[in-house]
Amino acid sequence: MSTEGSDLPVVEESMVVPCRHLRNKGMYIYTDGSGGESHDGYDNTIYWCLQTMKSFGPDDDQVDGHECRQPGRSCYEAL
Amino acid sequence: MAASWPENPRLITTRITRLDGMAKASGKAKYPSDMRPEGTLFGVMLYSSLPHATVKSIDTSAAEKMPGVKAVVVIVKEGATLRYQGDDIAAVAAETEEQARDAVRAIKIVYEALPHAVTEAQAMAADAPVVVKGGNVKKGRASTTLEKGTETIDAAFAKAESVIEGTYSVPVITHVCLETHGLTAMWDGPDKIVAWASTQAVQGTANELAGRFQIPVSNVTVLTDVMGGGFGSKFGADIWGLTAAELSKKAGKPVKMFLDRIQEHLAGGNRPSATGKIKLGAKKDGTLVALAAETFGTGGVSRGAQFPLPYVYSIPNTTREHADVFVNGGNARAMRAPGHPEGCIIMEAAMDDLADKLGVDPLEMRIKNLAPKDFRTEIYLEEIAIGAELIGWKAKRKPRGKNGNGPIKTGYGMALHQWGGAGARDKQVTCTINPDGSVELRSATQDIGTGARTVLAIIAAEVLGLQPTDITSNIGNSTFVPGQASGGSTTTPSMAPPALNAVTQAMEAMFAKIAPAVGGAAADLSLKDGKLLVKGEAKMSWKDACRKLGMTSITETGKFTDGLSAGGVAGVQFVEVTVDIETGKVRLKKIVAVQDSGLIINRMAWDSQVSGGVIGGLNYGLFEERVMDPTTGQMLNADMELYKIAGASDMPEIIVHALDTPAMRARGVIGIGEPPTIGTAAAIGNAVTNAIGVRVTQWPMSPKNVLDALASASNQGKA
Repeated sequence: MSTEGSDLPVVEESMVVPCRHLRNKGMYIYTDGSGGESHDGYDNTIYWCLQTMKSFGPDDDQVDGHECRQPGRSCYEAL
Repeated sequence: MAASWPENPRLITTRITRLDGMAKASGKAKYPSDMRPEGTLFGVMLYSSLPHATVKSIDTSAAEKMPGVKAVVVIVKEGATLRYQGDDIAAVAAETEEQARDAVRAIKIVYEALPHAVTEAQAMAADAPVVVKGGNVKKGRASTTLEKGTETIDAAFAKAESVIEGTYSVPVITHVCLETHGLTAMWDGPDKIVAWASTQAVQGTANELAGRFQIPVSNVTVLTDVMGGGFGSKFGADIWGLTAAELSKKAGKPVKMFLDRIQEHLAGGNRPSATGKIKLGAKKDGTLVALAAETFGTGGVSRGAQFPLPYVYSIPNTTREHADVFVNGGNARAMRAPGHPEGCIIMEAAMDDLADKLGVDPLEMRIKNLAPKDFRTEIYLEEIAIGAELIGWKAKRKPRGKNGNGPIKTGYGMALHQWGGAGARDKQVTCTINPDGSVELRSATQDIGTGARTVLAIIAAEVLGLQPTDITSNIGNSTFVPGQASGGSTTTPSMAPPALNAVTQAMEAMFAKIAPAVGGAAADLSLKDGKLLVKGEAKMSWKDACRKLGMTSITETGKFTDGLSAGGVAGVQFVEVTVDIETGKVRLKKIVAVQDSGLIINRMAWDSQVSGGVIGGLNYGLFEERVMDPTTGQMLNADMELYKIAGASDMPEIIVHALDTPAMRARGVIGIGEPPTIGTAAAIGNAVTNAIGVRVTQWPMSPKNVLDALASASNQGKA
């Protein structure tokens, strides 16, 4: 993601460390890094937050593979 | 030398009774919800009665003074938003369950009710209340694939000689675990917890408890000797598990906290709904040309309603748009083959409708459109041929709507499915051979009802020339070496390789140690029929050989090695039904499930897994549906009476056929938990449609949906 006129480097989402409280079922299964919940053509990953154990974080916003990689989010804690 | 599966196994691939079968059948087995350590208190959750509300105030003072109450925990803060009926608010621990329920009722909550949307239609309406920030409809990745030389999807459809358009829907269903979610927590001093949890992941649950209470994970023991079903919904401690541990800490006594059946339906997870508006085109001979799909579904307040489409078949031109719709309903959770049953239903319904329009045999049309470069294609061809013969497809099946003049119509349907089922490569098993001849395997995996404990024992017995009953297969303990969490059909392919390696290493270590004492070199020793052989001749019994170990046991840890397991299965199912077109009642007569999964360790458990998958699938096809009341926002069938699942009298003849060939065995072990549940509901829908001559577009195939389809067709002059 880039911002026009910004001097900030472009950072791929996959390079951003997710929040350490982010969970999905694949994290418990594919512990060897062999796979995940996302597949070619579709992604039905269901996320939850360890802080709330729900699909909403402590800030009452949704838990998500994208949203929980945002260091600006008030409840974000780097992995 | 790395271990390998035996070419001519003595036990593996045969039918072995489960080690814990008698204990389960007799009631001797202790499930986590049976555990009541001395002094156990009973925990009960207070949950939202409203589908959408703000908590204005919570007053627990009266509850805390109730008889028997030992601890109260408030989960949400005043001002918090409750997003579905069943959302957690507080919990009580008391000496009896009745006292805890009375106390929960005494907690005073002042709600501010908010407008709700509990159905997709409500949530997608222009004036819908806001369920989540950012909007109730979240579009997923749109994708379009076009073959070379085709500029647009419309241009692709222009090449088709026949096109169908249809909308197919399947509702939200819940997991209906017979043992509800929960655990019993017991503190041992200020910084140690033991928890008996109904979980698919003992180590994941231990990690979550340790993290919440800021104690070392080595101080947490999670035990799951047996458990009553999870189907993808039981990973981790959950809010009620953490709350049980907190109540236990406050009260200084163990707390047992398992959801009641209502909350199990409301908050224990669900499979999202799916609707697909489909346009599918083909050449006259049935060769698919193009697919256009607009799909959506709801997983309640969480995402997760995406599913694979196109499914199984090769289509050169496709376009797909998908949206997750958020409603005021409990969170979706992974459910047995997440996404695949939904994708299978929608794809296979469209396939049959197009075959009918073209006047071609839907079986032949499926064969024609298998992916040419997919290794599964050859497997599908073999399985389709076997399944068609077993159901009598060629002899008995008639074209759609040509099933006689009487009110009882017979129909046939089929569906193809696929799954991964490969193992994780980082799990371990320890094997201990003791001087008294006992053998113990250990790993922090768990048996979720699939027979995992017996699978490990069979492997050990095969290698050591013993019987499975000679082996103690000790799993379901988070403190053991890392074992596989049971999801994605990965348990057996993750655990079988390290088990084989552990036992082989332990045997080799034993041979090295006792060789001088038995008069041979280690390479001369072997095991067979409970005896130690030296240069092929029986020398002594297994127990006598173990005695040569002296005072010390041998323990070896096995790790995963390549070549022992694999991933990727196909599978086909055929269904015969009768439908009474006057009542709409569907009766299943016969289901044929032809399935591959590489090397089968225990054929008896494998057959049970496939039968169980079919039964889960027929529930999805005929009965299950979460019914939400748009007006009150309440789930209307949050029980075991109105939430329909099959009983014994609903069961058809189920024929399970394993594609157990040398080629399959050579692939190694592959998981079987999920594949056989995928295609059943799709095949049932196609069989019903074949019987009555009218597409039933809404699952399940309930009398209402069947009669609605007949009435709709009649109104349009089609029936």
